[in-house]
Amino acid sequence: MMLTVQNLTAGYGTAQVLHGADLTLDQGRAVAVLGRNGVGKTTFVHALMGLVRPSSGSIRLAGRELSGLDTRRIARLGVRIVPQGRRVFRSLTVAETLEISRSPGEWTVERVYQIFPALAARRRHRGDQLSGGEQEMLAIGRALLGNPRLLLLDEPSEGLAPRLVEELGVVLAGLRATGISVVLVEQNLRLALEVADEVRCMVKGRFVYGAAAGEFAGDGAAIAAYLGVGS
Amino acid sequence: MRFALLALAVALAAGCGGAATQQAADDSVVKVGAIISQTGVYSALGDDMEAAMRLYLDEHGGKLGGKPARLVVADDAGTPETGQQKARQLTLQDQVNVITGLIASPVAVAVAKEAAAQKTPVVIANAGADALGGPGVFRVSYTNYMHGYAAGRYAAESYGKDGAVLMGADYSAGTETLKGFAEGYAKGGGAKPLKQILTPFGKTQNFQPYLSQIPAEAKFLYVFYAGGEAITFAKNFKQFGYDTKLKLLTCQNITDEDVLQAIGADAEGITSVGLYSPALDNPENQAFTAKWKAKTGKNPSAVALQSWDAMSLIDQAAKRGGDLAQALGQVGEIASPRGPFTLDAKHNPVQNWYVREYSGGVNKVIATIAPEAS
Amino acid sequence: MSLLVNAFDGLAFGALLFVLAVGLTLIYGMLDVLNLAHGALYMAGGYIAYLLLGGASVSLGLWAGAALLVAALGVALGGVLSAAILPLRGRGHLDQALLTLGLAILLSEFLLGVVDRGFHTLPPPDGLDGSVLGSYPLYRVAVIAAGLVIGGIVYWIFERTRAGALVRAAVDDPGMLAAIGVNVARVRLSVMLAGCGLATFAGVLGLPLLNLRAGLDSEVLVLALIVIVIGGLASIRGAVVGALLVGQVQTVGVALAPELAAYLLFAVMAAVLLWNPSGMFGRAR
Ligand SMILES: Nc1ncnc2c1ncn2[C@@H]1O[C@H](COP(=O)(O)OP(=O)(O)O)[C@@H](O)[C@H]1O
Ligand SMILES: [Mg+2]
Repeated sequence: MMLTVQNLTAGYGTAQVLHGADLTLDQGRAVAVLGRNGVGKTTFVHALMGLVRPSSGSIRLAGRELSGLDTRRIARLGVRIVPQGRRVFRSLTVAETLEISRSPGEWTVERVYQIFPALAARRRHRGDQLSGGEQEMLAIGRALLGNPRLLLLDEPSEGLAPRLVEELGVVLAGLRATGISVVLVEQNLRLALEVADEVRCMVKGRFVYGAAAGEFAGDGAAIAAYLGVGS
Repeated sequence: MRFALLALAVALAAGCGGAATQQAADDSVVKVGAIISQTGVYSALGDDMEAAMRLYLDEHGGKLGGKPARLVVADDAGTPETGQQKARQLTLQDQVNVITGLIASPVAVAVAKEAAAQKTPVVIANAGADALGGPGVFRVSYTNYMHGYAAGRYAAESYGKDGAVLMGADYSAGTETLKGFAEGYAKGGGAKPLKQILTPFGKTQNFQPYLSQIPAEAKFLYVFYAGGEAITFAKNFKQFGYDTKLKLLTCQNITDEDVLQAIGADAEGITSVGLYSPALDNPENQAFTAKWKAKTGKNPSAVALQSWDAMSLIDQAAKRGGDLAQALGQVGEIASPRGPFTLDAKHNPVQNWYVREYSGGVNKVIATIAPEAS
Repeated sequence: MSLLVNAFDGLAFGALLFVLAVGLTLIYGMLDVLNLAHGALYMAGGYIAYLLLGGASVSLGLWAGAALLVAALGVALGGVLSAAILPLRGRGHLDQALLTLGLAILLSEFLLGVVDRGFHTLPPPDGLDGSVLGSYPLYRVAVIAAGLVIGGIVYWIFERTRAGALVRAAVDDPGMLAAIGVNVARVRLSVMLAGCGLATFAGVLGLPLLNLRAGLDSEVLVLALIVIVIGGLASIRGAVVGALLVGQVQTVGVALAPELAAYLLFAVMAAVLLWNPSGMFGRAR
């Protein structure tokens, strides 16, 4: 098992957000985490990354306990995040961001420029001068250059034009071939199903539904219940 | 925040610790309370002040007016509030017979008020504010006005009757001194000064922009600065080459002992008007400078001389006996290292002023300005 | 002509202020610590150099050597300061600022105790004690040159090197920087150390310009704070522009409106803040 999360709780101050989340993920597989706004999806991936301290429960990465480690240690163990809202370094150029994100491994700056040619054209531009799509590419490139075993993506399609979401789907689907494990938080069902092998739905800080991606695609009632109408 | 309050409380407690116990009045000793800046901006002057007072006592067998004397020193930290509080403590708890010291004028004003309320006489050893005074207040230093006035009279005589520019720090000592200068200069037949340049007090780190205000037709410059500003002014004046363009006359503070070392070579040749010079040729001064040098290795500063004389005045008054406040006004001529002086009706000194030129490590006396015949 | 001299002189003070303020602004921007000990570090630099060189005029080499040694001591003091602040992380700005203020008082009183409470200066090193063009002090030209060199180096490191990118990233988003595996605490510590080293170095550089005395620490601290308020937090460009502006206000401004000299600096600061509350190059935080 690449990732095993058991009975994870976390929150902010006295407000508890995660109420015992469980999740397992095999190496090289992708799981989509779905759920309405405010159920705790971001808190969940932040807890995995150490950006939020879990208050109890365990997070094991290839058998190694992550819960309680700080963000840098977790990153060193091979976890990267593409956060919601991208959070690119606004005063760093594209080239600088990729440079400080580098680590030894298959992913190189050149390879990032290959899958995102738009970034190559903007390498001298600062983070805050990029379009939303370019920022998303930069955030993904930044994460890939860490050559992670586990990649966490938090609503990467948010705010992107449909054409860009499609491109993003191609890139993310392509990642599966590399053996990387992916947790993809998404509201865009099409993208989620295109990328993920499995689906987990979160309600009030707990996973209440799990299915293979194909199975979920046919389950209209579940889609309506966990994602809201029209998705 | 709680930690901050705690720290503050500790600091306050440390500062106010050691409450003195009430002491009974004792006629067999003369108790002198000295309010001196031991901390704060004037602490360097405070060191000289205390040293001079202790030197006087040591040289006079620890006695004033024949009685054993005790010097109680209190730190005013340079602020009127602290000064007033210390004055109350000295009069009520320590029951001193007289208060002396007092470097900064605002402190002296607050202390004089408190002392008047407690009916304790005050001998001011430095503060120069013109308005400072009262029936129980005696001054052995000088008023700012007289300091400038003497220089003005001299300038009219030796620097020409026109082309004067005045410059000084914008606070009471500066403006009072410059006002005295302008009036002394006019009295000597000098024309109205071309310009008066005032600089923010205590904040000026660079006099170049102010020096550049001096009009081209200026013939000479009279300046008032003390302490750190005196150093910066003297250096800037020389560094920007003004010494080759313009004659300079200064107040005594610019070449006083507390700043000379820091000014260094740039002090060479500066002419100033002051009430004292270590180079004065009289027996009192020779004795005084020798003792001071033996103790500190330096020339005595104006503050050291004034503090010595403050003790000397108290000594003479105590010798007369009776009510000390009354006696202080009846001492008559005091033989001082600065030359003999008396106190006028307002208890301010009537004294010689000296034109001094700094050269070879000492302020040489080049002229004497005798008191105006009244 | 005279205004030109004023303006040039403003550059000299601006250069000195920049060297002092750049560390303060980066430390505040990155560590979120308002280092009120920055003025005391400046003062420490001056007093240590004075103790080392004895107040006498010395050769340029010896002088530069002393300046470098003092900068190294500043780095060490920065280490002490960091260690002292560490337990207060997350305790809020006021607690940390108060702690640095307390340390500043300790440091400056210690220096005054070791030397004395009187006034001291150091003449410029041999060769820089003359004047140019008849009547402009050569040392001030040297201060401008030193400011340019240091400013250039700082700018280059900050904008053109990997280390600088890490520092900027730590200002932008420390959480994400940690999330790519970078030791943010170490980046912060380096900035603290470098900033403190620059502050003590500025103390040596300013020695022939500003007298050593009690109260020097708070005087320069206020100026540095005004520089970063004007320029904006955590911005090198802000520190440059703020320092140059303060320098010009105190020379050209004073020469043009001498009767307003005491208020000019605060008027300019207020004007900048009305125009942009985060300073000229600051970002809303
Ligand atoms: N930094 C925070 N401080 C306090 N509450 C937060 C914070 N971030 C999120 N929350 C709250 O936690 C809950 C879950 O938020 P989040 O994990 O962002 O949900 P999702 O990503 O599923 O939309 C929400 O009620 C949100 O308001
Ligand atoms: Mg979210």
